[in-house]
Parts: sequence; structure tokens; C-alpha cells
Amino acid sequence: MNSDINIIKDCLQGNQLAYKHLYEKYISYCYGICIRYSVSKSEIKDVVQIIFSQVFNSLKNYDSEKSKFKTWFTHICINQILSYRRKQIKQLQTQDFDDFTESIGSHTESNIEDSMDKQHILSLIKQMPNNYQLVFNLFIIDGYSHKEIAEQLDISPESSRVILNRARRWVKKNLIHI
Amino acid sequence: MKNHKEFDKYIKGLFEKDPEVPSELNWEAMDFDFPQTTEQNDKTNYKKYIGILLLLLFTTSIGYFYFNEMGIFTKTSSSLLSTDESIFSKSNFRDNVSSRLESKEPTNLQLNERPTQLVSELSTNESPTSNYTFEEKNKNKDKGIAQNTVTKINASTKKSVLQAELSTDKKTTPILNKQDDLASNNTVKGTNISTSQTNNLLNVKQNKANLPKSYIGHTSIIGTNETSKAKTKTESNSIETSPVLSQTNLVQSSIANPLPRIQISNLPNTEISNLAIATPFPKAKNNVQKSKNKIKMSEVFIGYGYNTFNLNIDDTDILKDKVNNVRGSSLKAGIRLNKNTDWSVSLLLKYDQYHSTFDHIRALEPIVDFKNLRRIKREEVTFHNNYTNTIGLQIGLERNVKVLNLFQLYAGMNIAPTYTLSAKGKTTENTIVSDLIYDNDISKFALNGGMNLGVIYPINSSLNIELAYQYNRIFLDGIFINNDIITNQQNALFFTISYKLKK
Repeated sequence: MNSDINIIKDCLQGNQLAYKHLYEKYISYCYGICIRYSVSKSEIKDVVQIIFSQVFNSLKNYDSEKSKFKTWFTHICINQILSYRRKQIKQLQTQDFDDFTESIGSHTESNIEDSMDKQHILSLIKQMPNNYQLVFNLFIIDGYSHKEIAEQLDISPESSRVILNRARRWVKKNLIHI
Repeated sequence: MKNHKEFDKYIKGLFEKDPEVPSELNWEAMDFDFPQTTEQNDKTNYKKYIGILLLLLFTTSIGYFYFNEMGIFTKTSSSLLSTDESIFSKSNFRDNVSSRLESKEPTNLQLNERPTQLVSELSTNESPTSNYTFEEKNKNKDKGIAQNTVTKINASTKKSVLQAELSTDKKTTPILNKQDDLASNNTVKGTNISTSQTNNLLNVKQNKANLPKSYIGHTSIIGTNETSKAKTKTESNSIETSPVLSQTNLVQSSIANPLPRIQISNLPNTEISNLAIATPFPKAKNNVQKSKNKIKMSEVFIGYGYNTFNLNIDDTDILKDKVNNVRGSSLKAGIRLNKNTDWSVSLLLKYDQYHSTFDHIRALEPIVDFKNLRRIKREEVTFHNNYTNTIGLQIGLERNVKVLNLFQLYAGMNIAPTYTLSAKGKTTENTIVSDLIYDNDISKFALNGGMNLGVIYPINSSLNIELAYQYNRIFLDGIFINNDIITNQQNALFFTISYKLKK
């Protein structure tokens, strides 16, 4: 924590080496979030660029008394990824929920080779319908509440609960299926 | 529920360890633009402040120059006198006067004898001298000038001159002392001057004595005026003596001191007014008239209007479809100084409120329409009003054109440094709505420049109404509207009421 603050101080003084330290410290974490949110390989460099540019520019606004740097960083990561995918999310909101269930089967049978390991879950998440994936990631892994998810995704908290339950069922079903 | 928790914990545990980063995401492979440090920001701000300071200096100097020019015409009678003095020195005037004076030297009297002789003449003879006739002739030549002169000459009397020159008084002013010396040089010996009138008279005499020939003309006029003042107190018969006396005496005087400046403080008010009336220079008179015209055309105004503005927003910005520019309010008040009927300068204080809306859309639970077997999607749209308030000091130059004597059109250019007072409203970085906070990367100072077109309709002699369109462009930075959104163009439509300061 202290080292984060020192690095940030150095960054604010214009030390480019400090920016490099900060980047190297958090790039793997950022990369993990990108993967979970199904950022494609072709897009991942652009998204990382956007995320860290935003982080560097907003460092002066970071308040260490309000939150840990990692939490603050996570919020920026997710916001930027969601922003990047905003148009896709909008399109998905217009689709009927039932349509997703039809598209699940075709994806689930193809790529899964191992069970219950991280790669397997990751591949499952990638195959999830987008709104399932977002709520699943935000609630289960990133620890957002339904209220926060509702605000992030412009949906009601009840919708968030419904989507989360469906996402859980979807993952379990596909795990069992394998 | 328990199963859910275990499941969630299991999933979360899988992702606690960060994955390996591919080489394409190495630091060296990335290309970041590092933000400016505080020092760099200070330097940028410093440059901006210097620019604004220079601009203010520029506008102030223009204003100062203009007011100075106006100031000449709004001075009181005391300054009119000094204006006349400057005109005296003009060569064409000198020529005119000196030519008149040449014909005004009719006597064969010796230089040193002449004052005494004339005094003695005056003491014995009440009739006007031959010079009086000459003045009458002059009157025919130049009616305007001669009338003034003769009036003043008539105003002077033998008695007044005699009384003035022969009376004594121990109270002497510094000027009087000089005059004493002069009087002794000019053989008007033993005559100490006592009254203010004679003081003036002798003062004039001295002036004439110090003058070269060409300067005597105007001195004589001043002398005439001054003696006329003496008359007002003595109320004696008209006779033109003293001006001629002094002229003929002083023309040939060998004293070569510089011309003393007429001290307005030495002259009573009646004299000042007489001087102004007697001044035979149309130019000076014109100046007075001009000054009245200029004062008449100055006006104060207050106006209210609407503004619209553009939004500089990136296509990929999340706020692209959320922020809209709507009609804002503008208020202005200032003064318009009409340099002449064609040109005017306006100085005004302007307040602009840029109004934008921030639309927040929230999806609601869908409703199922069982009759038609369809699902109805619902959205809640909230319009948040965002306001950016700025204040500016505007200076403009306008060209006026009268149309059929009914109304007046004008077109002008203006420049205005502005300062952003506040920015309030809502924004979002993604979907969470938060309060709008001013982005400190954007300077609160901006520089506007633009053009305006308007039409003025006079309601009566004092009041005008005006409709004007104004286009402004913001040169430096821009005006902050929302996150990463600025405006750099503004259009405004004003309705203004103006009041003429003096009729």
C-alpha cells in the first residue's frame, strides 16, 4: 500500500520510471480483468492502453484515504472495459432473454476440454451471453452489489438478480453437461 | 442460498491469481502520453495569465485613449481658454492679426512717450481716438471678429483706464510686481496698479511688450476682453483706448521675455465667460459644439438574450449521446461611446449561462402484454440540467449605418476575456451518474472574439431598443461543459434597451 502511494507520488512529480513501475505492477491484474470480460486478443492492447492512460491521467484525483489503490484501479478498469463495450451492451439489452438460452448449447459443446479449472471457467465465461457475463463477473468476482451493477449496466437491481441466477444456472448446467 | 455462496467463493478463488501477461503488453510495446506535471501546468497557466494581462492592458489602453479624446470636449470653460491659447499660436491666425495691427499703428508717437501721451489725452479728451474709427472699418472686414473686438473696446473707458492706471494700491501680487517693473520700463512711471481690473490690463500690456510683432494681435484681443471687464465695474463712457495704447506701445517694445501664460485663477468668472464669447475662432466654437454632440451620443445599455453553443465531443465518448446543448441565457450591461455618427466603441460586462442537458437512461422491468403475447420494454429517462456560468469583459468596435432616419444598423467586432465561474450538473464516466466537477485541465480563463450585427430603433430621444446577433469564437482552450466536452463557439441573440446619457 505504502509502495503504491510512493509510486503515485513519483508519478505525479513526472518520473516516467514510476509510471513504468506502476504499469508493471498492475498489468497482469488488468489483463486478468480484460480476459474475464471477454476482451478479444485483437482488442486487448487497445483496451489496456485506454485503461492505463485513464489511470495515469486520473492519478492526481486518487485519494488514498477513500479507497485502496487496487480498488480504485479495478473500478477504472471495469468502467473503461464497459465503456468500450457499451454499444454491444446496448444491443444485448434489446434482445430477448430467451434467445440466449438457445445460443448456449452450440457454444458449450465445442471448446471445453478440462473440467473445473480456471481455464475452463474462463472459457465458459467467454461463451456466456454478454449480460450474464457482466453480471457474473461484477457480482461474483469483482464484488459489486446488485445496486451497483444496476447503475453500471443501466438495469434495475431486480434484473441484476434475475440475470445472476440465470448465469449461475447456466454455468452449473454446462459444467454438469461436461 | 448456501450453494450459491460456495459456488461464488469457488469461482472467485479461481481468479485470485493473476494470469501471465503476453509480451505484446510489455511496457516497451506500449505508447503512453504522460500527463503534465504540476510544474508544467504552472508554466502553461503562467503563459495564459501573461496573455490575459497583455490583453487587459491592450483594452485598457484603448479605453484610456478613447476617454482621453472625449475628455477634451467635456472640459469646463477654463479648459476652453487653454484651447484658445493653442489656437492663438497658429500661423494663419498670426498673419491675420498682424496685418490688422499694421494698419492699426497710426500715430507718430515715440515709443517711450506714447503711454504718457495717451494717458494725458485721455485725461483731457473724452472722445474716441482715431483708432476707434479704424476699428469700425475692421468690423466691416471681418464682422464676426470685429464685432467682438469693438464690443470689448466700447466696453473699455477712458475713466476705467485712467482709474486703473493712476490708482495705487500697496497690495501686489507676484504678477503685479513684474508689471511694476515693466511699467517703469515703459515710462508709465509712478503708476502702481491696484485693482484686479488694472492688474489684468497691465498684465496684458506686459504680454504685449514681450511679444514679437506677430503675436500682438491676439494679445490685443485678450487685452480688449480684459478691459471690457474693467468697464463692467466702472460703468463709464465707451472709448477704445487701452487696447490701442498697449498695442502701439508694446509693438515697439524691446523687452523680449517669453509670453507669460494667462492665469485663469487671476480672472474673475465674468471675464472668463467674456473671453469665451469674444474668442474669434470658429474652430474653438466648433469644438464646443462637437463636445456637446459627443456627450449626447454616449449611452448606457442593458440586454438579455439567448445563447446556443457547439459541443466539442469525441465520437467514441460515452457522453456522446447523453449530453445535449440547449438554449442558455446571456446578460450584458455596458456603455456605448459614439466616436461620431459612424463609429462607436462599446465596453460591457457580459454574463453567459451555457445550458446543457445530461440524459440518463435506465432500463425498467419489462411488462408482458398477455393479450397480444408480447413483451414491452420500458426505460426511464432523466434529463439533468447542467449549467456553466461565465463572466466576461467585452470591448467592441462598431460601424453604424442609418437607414431612412428610422432605425440604425450596425456591425462590429469584439474581443472579450472571460472567466468560468462555475459548472454544475451531472455526468458519468460510465453508467454511474455523479455530480459534475470542473476539470482543472481546462483553464477557467478563455478569450472570446467575434462579430455582431444589430438594429437599433429609437423609441424617443432618450431610449432605444435594439436587437442584435452575436457570434463568438473562443480562442484559448474553451468553455468547460462536461467531462472531456468543451465549447468553442457561441451564438447569441440579444434584446437590448439603451439610454442616452445626455441630450
